[in-house]
Amino acid sequence: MKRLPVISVLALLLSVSMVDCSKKGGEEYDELYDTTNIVGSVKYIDTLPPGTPLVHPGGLNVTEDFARIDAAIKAKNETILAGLAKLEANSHADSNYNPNPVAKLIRGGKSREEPEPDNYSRAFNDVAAAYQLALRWKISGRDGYARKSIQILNAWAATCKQLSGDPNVFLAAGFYGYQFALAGELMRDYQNWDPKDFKAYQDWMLTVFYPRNHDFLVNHNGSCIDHYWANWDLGNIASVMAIGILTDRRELYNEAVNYLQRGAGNGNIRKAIYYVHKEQGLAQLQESGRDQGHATLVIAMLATICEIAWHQGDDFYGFNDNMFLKASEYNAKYNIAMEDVPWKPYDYKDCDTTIVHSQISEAERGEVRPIYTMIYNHYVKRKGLTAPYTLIGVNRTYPEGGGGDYGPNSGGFDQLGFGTLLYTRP
Amino acid sequence: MKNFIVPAVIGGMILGAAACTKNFLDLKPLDRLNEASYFTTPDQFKFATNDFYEKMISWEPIDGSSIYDFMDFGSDISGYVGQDGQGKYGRGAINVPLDDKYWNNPYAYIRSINIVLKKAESYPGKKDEIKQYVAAAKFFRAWQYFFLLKRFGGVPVITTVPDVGGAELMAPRNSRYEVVDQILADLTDAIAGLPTEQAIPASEKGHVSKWAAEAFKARVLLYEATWRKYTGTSTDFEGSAGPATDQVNSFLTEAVSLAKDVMLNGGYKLWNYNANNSMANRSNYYLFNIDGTGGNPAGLDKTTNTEFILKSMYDLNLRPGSINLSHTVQTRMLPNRKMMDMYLCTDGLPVSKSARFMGYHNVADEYANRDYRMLSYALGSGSVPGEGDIKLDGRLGYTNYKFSAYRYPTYRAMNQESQDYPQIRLAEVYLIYAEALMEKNGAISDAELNSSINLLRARAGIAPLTNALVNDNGLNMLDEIRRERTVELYGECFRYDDLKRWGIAERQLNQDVCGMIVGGASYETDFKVSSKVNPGVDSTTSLYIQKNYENGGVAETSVPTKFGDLKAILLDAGSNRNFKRMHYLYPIPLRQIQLNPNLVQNNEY
Repeated sequence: MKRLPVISVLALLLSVSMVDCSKKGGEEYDELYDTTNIVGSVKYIDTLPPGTPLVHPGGLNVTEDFARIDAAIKAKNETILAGLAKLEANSHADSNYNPNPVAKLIRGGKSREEPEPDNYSRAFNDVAAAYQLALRWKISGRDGYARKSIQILNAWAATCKQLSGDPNVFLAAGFYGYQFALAGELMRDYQNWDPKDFKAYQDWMLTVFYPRNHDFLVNHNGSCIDHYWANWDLGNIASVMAIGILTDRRELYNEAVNYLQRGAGNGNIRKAIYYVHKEQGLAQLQESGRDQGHATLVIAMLATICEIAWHQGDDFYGFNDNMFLKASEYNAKYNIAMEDVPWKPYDYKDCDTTIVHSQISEAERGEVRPIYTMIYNHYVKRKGLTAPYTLIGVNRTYPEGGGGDYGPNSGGFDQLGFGTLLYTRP
Repeated sequence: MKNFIVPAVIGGMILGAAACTKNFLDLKPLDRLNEASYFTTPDQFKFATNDFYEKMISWEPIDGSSIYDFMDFGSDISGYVGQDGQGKYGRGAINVPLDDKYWNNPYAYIRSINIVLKKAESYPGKKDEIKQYVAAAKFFRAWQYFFLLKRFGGVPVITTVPDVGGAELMAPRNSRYEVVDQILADLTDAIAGLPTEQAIPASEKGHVSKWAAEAFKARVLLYEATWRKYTGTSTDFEGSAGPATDQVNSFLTEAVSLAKDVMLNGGYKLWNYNANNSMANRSNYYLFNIDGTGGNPAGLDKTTNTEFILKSMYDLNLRPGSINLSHTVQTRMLPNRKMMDMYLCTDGLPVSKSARFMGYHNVADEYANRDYRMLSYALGSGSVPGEGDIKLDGRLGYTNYKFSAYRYPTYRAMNQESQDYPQIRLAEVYLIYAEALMEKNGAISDAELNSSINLLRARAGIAPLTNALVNDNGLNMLDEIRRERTVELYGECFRYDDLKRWGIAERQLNQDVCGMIVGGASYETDFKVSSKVNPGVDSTTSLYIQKNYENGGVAETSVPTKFGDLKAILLDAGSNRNFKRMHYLYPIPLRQIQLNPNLVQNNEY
């Protein structure tokens, strides 16, 4: 009798493994169809034909931004100066910074896939330095910062040959992919960046990062489509988008734009923002029932993607009746203002099991990331809308710092930050 | 799949065949300990009752419990405004849950206790052999019912071991008065059957003593007497019976005499090593993290502690705390403005009256001439902050170190903190004694104060509380006794219960929650000064980022001080807080009402 459970467990395992074997290989993503089953129509954003040049410098910060910052510094604008002081005080934004590239970038090490330990902190520290130094060069015009920034970027392109690790490697591909691409984009008009080196850098992003990003968005590591939380997709979307801009590959940029609107995974903007509570003008996130650290990261990633796309002429901020504004308000209301928010139960379909989130998660409530200034200035200053809870977030984080200012762990580096300096508009 | 069906079918047939065996259900399992063959020796009763000790909430999470649900985070003296757990409760933001582990757990424990008591009745040996364990079981049954009483008010009193169809499962709620009667009856028996601390051999230390039962009974009596006096029947559920008689005075009288017995005969002593210079008068800090000889600079280990009357015992190797204790108390058990101002000055007077109070100009000032408990809790082993040490960039500006390891994270690392948790300590007995006397007589003599709470004040370096001090300075004796309790028992899971039994919870919890005094042009601090450009106008210094505190455009509010109204950081506006009389009790979890429709929900939920 004791063998009965053993046998039945074995049988169950066998049947499960058979189902697993019968799964088809990854299908190529078809960009023409909305692969989700989201009900309700939406006005999609059209893409331009492959070959259409992208806007440079693109990325998060463009020429107009630096002109505004320059004028504000000259006018001794208190807010901008406070934001600048925050950048200058960051140890990464130092022309004596020493890059520390690795041949094999590991996130998810000491695992079946990768026996060696993690080393991804070297990537997020170095790319934060490259980005911050690029900002200092753009703002001060001093060559030393630019030289250091491209030294870091060149060193990584020359040294790093592959990404490795358990499934977490796709987080590295996404998060450090978009950050390296944006740092490179910021430096692309630096006259002393040897064109050969810049080309090598573009190639590095295309060969080491992009294939991982693309693979994840198509295959999701062989998992069922809803297994991976929104942030996994969002990091990879941001990376594909930014690499597309850096390398002038419109088809990559289009891939990101299409996935964001029509993709099957949780990074589809209408899945990442799970439900709009219309009456209250608030929108619940796919990760709101998980924990607030991750929910807040969704806001950070969507803001990054929206701002990048905005500079290419695509308005994802306004997508689906400003749904992202409502998501930011929701997240700030709950985490910053500490007020109650409405809830619609969410079924997290983790393959064979469904976990019902019957209430918003209290875990990590109060999570603060330097993200709200970017969002606030778009909706309120560019668009003339109101964002009272996002404003509280702006104040709470004032002046916003960046990687290195929010602890030594990866969460403090997931977003590039410095919103007070970079996005405050008069 | 076929592989599965065949054995399943065969298995089913075998099961069916086995079910035909006569008395199948009456068989005793032979391969493990079981109720049917257990409980035949005194040791077996001891082992069974040993299990009840860990069911008192303490560091280690048992059955999903968390001490953080009880450490007064988010109360009227807390600077933690996170909206989780108790933070939510303090704001009156709780809903009826489907389940509540703090309903399910105590009832599961009570069932185990009832099994032991039932088995004791049929114990074949001499009853005297198991007297101590029967008494302990009754103590813990009282403990669990008191836990339920505090949370839910009246609950079904179950003293039997219900079967699956037992009538007990459909029982309506007993009134709080009946629950209290049950608790007191159990404690009377417990006191009669438990050994004194002195009679418990060294190898058995940690077991509950007669003194512990007396102290606990005094706690229950004071709790219930004051609840009835101030909160009355206002929280009783619909249809609840009232008190059979007015027991307030008899409860207070008994509380006084029990407390006095423990004080005189218990042999417990306040842990005061302030005479040792290396302790820097911080006994009130080190008492709560004694753990090996490295828990304090004097090398004092747990054997030096005779203040704890009943404790949950921990040990780095045998039973580490296994929660992130130091970090959590440092970031959540935070004091707010009210708490920081509640500590007396060394002359025994409050900051609003004492000439020794130095104010808030420099961040060090408010620590001068103050209660050692303020230094102990807020600074731990650290020194008073100096100019520029406190930066207000969204942080509170105060920390808490009570219960935090001495040299965290070196001695002890995260999750390794293994100090004992005080379930009952002598300091509380002094406080019960003084408060119960005051409540009973409306007066208390200097001698009575000297034999109780003035011993706490001596350890804290402040002048004794006397009738002269009260009269000469326009103080209120009851308020001062309550203040003493608030200060001494800070963070020890009493504050919410105290506010509720004093009937003042809604008034106290719904006030503005404030942080540091920032002052302004007319009262300069590290954070705000008079503008150099426009003298007389407030100007923030580089140590203060006002925006980081803005909520709806408001970062500060005025608080009354000895120096007039001063600006302080507003952490949570009173208008956001909505604690009501209904919240004195938690709601009965929904599933229990579904299972037993005779359970009446608490008022207004």
